[in-house]
Amino acid sequence: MAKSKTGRKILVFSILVLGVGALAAVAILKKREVVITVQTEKVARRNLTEVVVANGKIQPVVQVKISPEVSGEIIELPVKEGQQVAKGQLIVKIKPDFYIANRNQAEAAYKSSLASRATAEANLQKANAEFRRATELFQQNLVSASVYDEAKAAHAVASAQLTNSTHQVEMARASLASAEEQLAKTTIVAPLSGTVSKLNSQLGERVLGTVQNVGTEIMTIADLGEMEARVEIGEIDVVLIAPGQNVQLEVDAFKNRKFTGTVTEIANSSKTSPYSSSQQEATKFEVKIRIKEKEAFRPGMSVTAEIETRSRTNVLCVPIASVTTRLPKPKETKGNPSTATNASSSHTNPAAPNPGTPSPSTNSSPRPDKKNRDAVKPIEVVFLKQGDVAKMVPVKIGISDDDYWEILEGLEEGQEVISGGYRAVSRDLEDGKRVRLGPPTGEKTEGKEAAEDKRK
Amino acid sequence: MSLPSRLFNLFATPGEVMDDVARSGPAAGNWVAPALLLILVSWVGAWLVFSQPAIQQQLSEITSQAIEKQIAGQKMSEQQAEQVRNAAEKWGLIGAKVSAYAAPAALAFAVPFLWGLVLWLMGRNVFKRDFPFMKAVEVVGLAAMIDVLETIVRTLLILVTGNLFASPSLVLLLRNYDPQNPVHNLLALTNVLVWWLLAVRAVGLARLAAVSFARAAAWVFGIWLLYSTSMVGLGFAMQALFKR
Repeated sequence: MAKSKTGRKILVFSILVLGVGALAAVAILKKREVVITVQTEKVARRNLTEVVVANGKIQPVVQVKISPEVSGEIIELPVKEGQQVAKGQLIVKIKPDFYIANRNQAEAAYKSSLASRATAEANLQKANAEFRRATELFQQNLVSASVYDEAKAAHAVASAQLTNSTHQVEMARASLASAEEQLAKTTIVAPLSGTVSKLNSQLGERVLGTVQNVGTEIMTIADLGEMEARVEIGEIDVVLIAPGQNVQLEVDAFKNRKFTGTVTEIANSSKTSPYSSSQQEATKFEVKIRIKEKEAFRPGMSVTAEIETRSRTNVLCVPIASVTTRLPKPKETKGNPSTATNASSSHTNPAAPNPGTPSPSTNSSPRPDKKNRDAVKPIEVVFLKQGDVAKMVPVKIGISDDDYWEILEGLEEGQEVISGGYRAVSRDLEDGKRVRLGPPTGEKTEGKEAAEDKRK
Repeated sequence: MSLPSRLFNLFATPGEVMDDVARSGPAAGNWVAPALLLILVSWVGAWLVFSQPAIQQQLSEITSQAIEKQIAGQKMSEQQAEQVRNAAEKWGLIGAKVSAYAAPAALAFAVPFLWGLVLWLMGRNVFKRDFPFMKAVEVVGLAAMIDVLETIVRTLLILVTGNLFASPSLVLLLRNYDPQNPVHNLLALTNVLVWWLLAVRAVGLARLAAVSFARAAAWVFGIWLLYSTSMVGLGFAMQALFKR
């Protein structure tokens, strides 16, 4: 019994020691190499459409803000927000009492000036007759030169008084016209047919005229039949925008619907906010997009615009995630483009590609010190899977859409490029590193779902 | 039987060791020594595993993928995403290392008491036998020697395969183990050394409660299976919930 137990113990311990020893030996002797898990995709020809995405608001193409030219109390406001109005329809009436009195006063002044002019005319006729008589008598030496001079002066004075009266009449007439104009402005009519899109004032409210200062904005009338999207686009992208480009629009209020539009205007000057520091805030330009579809849009609705800036047909493409940047090796070999442009280790790569060109989205390498950054600029590269190693290939990229980059130089159709994972492409991969295909943990099912969503 | 004899004989003649434990008086060494040994082996194993560049790469990839999933769920700019990546990668790796060293230290002492409580309650309520609670703790503590062996084997397998999730189970057949895949998690339950550990615990329970090994094993394996599958199911349910 004791012997069998001892034998059992020896057997068990022998198996354990041998098993563990063998594993340990393999673990010690095995050549350990870092193998990076990657996903790949073939270089293929596709049609690409580059889009610039921007957010903004929907606004009517024609929109008029109604402000009174005269101040006073609103005594009639026969419209409501959202109401349709016709051109020439009364929309606001301001209390006219003060302006009627002004008109009456001006009218009286005008009539008074007319009377003054009539008096001056009579005086001139009288002075004229006396002057004629004095002239005849003076020529016959029947009156002295003094009498003649007096008659002459009286005639000149009467003539001047008539001129003055005439001007007074003109002044009074102008005052009357102004007073009548002011009175007329107490009644405001719609300048266009449209909808009252915004009503700020109420009946009985006192409003300020715009003659000398900023007046009260009583309401806004807009033609909602013609709507446009006003979106803000960054300075990097605005140079790609041109009038006439097609736009796909998504309005938050109309879910699962896409509208179409055309770029009509691009602002020449950037939009600046008086409350923000221009150094911290990105420079934006307003772009107007005319919406083709007629729908019950309301001014101020949020919109996302995808402006189709450039498109290419049947061009070589790689997944957007496969393009990254690396610093080229400092020593270049002439005559061999593949080795000449090989990049150095990703650990010394800067984050930013050449300014002015759209940067590959996967670029996120650590920044080098300033001296190195000034000396060499990063280049766009992709990694090819050749067997079980990665080969870095510098490429020249063209346009991109949400999923793919156009490749202008560096690749051929059918080559297998490494398209993921993110960390592998952006940091870990180097020329000659070992790789193996494998779905990243937890991404397999999601990838299928994402593809399914996209197809839908 | 001396403590070293118990620790070593447990691998070959567990019934003899458990008989000795059941007959003899209380001895704290029966559970403290294996716990300390387990901590030591786990720490050495963690150090060895984390010193491997291939494992570091794998750990980075797992952390990175988890971060990418988070980023994909929340709409953020590339700059914000990069900040999140840098912070999460740094703290994710630190967190993994800290848990690899801290978890064995806590579990080595907690498991004998938790599983001891399970065995003690089973003895009292299922088998209607009274035995001291600390005897159950000693049984579970001594069985932890199999855990020590499992840790050594798992560490060596990780070093050999370069797979952080390698274990003496059907997981070895998988090329890409996905911790979020319930099927993969179920395969991980086929760890033969864990089964051995459970069998030794069942031997201890059989000796303490004076019942057959088959009855004790049925209960021990049943409870373990219930707990393990419910954990896998809970993980699956949480995933489904978050996906919605």
